Amino acid sequence: MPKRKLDPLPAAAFQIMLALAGGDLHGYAVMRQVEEQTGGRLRLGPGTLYGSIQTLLEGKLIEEVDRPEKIEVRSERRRYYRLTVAGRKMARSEAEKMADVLRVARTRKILRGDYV
Amino acid sequence: MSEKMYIRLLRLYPSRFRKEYEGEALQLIRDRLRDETGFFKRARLLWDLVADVLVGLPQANRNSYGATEAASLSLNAEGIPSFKVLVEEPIGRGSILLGGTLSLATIVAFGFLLSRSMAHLPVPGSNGRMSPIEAVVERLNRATTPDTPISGPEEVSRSTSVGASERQPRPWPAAAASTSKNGRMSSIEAVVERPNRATTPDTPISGPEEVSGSTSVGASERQPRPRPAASASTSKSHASALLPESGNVAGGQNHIVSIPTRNPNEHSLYLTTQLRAGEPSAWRGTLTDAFGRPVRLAEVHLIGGHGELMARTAVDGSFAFSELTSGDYEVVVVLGGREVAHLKALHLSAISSRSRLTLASGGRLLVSRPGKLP
Repeated sequence: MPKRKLDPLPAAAFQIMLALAGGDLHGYAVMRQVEEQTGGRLRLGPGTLYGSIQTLLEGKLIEEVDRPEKIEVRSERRRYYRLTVAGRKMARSEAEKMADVLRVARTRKILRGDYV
Repeated sequence: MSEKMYIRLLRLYPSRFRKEYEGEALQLIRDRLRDETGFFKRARLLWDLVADVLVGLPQANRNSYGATEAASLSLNAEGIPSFKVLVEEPIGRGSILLGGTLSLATIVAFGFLLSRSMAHLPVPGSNGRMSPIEAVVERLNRATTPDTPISGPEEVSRSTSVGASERQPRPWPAAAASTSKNGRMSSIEAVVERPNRATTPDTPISGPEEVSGSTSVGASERQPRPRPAASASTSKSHASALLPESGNVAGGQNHIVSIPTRNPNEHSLYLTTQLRAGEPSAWRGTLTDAFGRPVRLAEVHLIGGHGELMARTAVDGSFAFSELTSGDYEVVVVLGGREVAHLKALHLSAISSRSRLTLASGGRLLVSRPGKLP
């Protein structure tokens, strides 16, 4: 089941995986990270964010981890998520697919050379 | 958008999602409310949340929230059937409300069916002509008195006025039978036997004079009428007071009073009263159905100006009122807690062996002492 839901990989799920690739994050941080890495185009609402997180958890692409000790300042309980090995692999293959698309687009002169 | 409004929006999500992520989602909203201030950012937040519900709801519904635990379970017990518990939360308030409403509706519907009158429904084992009450009574009687003959309505005249018909083989029982053969009993029928001349030698009234149809008592007695005309009038008016011309009845008098049942399709019940000498105010009687079979365990209520009197019928259908004063009475027969028959006005006055039973207009039955008649 989870495979079918993640094939094709939804944009929100891919962005969450990319955000988590930099390190373990909690929900709100993921949302901020996604917003930042998309230049403010994609702001995940709670429903989309946690729905995607649940999908990724079911697909074992990310996992929930214990709270890192260094952030103990706030008393709020937050759950942190980490990209699994499978998730990293999948994110890479997804990025490669996009790179292929980019290459084609560049050869067709759709994109100019100053991109990636 | 306030936090409370978003809590309402969250109710749209599957319960498992809320259980898992409600706190996190609210925390995220709180964080955003804290970080994003100003009109533009708040408006953007509102837009984000509405769009998020539209986009995120289908996805949240697609997820199977028990899959992460179920996967490990199926690995451990591969090939062996196992039950997966997907929902582990208590029954919701909505389900309890729905179940309660459905149960109440079922109870109300069942109660309505029970309280409806079942009189029009045929009772198994009875033929079409019998009412349910009569069928039940018949079965009861069959159990107690198996020798009771069960036949048509002709039984009425035979069993209720045995003395007269046996001693007086006159055509009047046939006339009574003819009125009942058509299935519709008259509302009031009174069959009066002539009082014994030995006990009432001073009775100045001869046979034909006593026949009175629906006319008043006094007029019919003062003007003697030929009998054929009288019998014709009784059959026409369906309210008959039939008298044998020369009755030498040794016992008391038999008065048959038909009490209309509540259901007009059913046969009437019959009160046979016996007036005996020496019991001036006693009123004994037998309650029978249309076929002359006794109705037992019924309550005969007499409702008059002095209150209500009640007598219960015995196994043979007999009942007795010991102290009766003259006056108008309403007769109500209650069987099994239900009122089955009702006679609006029964006029009883000075009941004694000298009394004469006559039928007055308006279905009134007059029991009167001849000497006091005008």
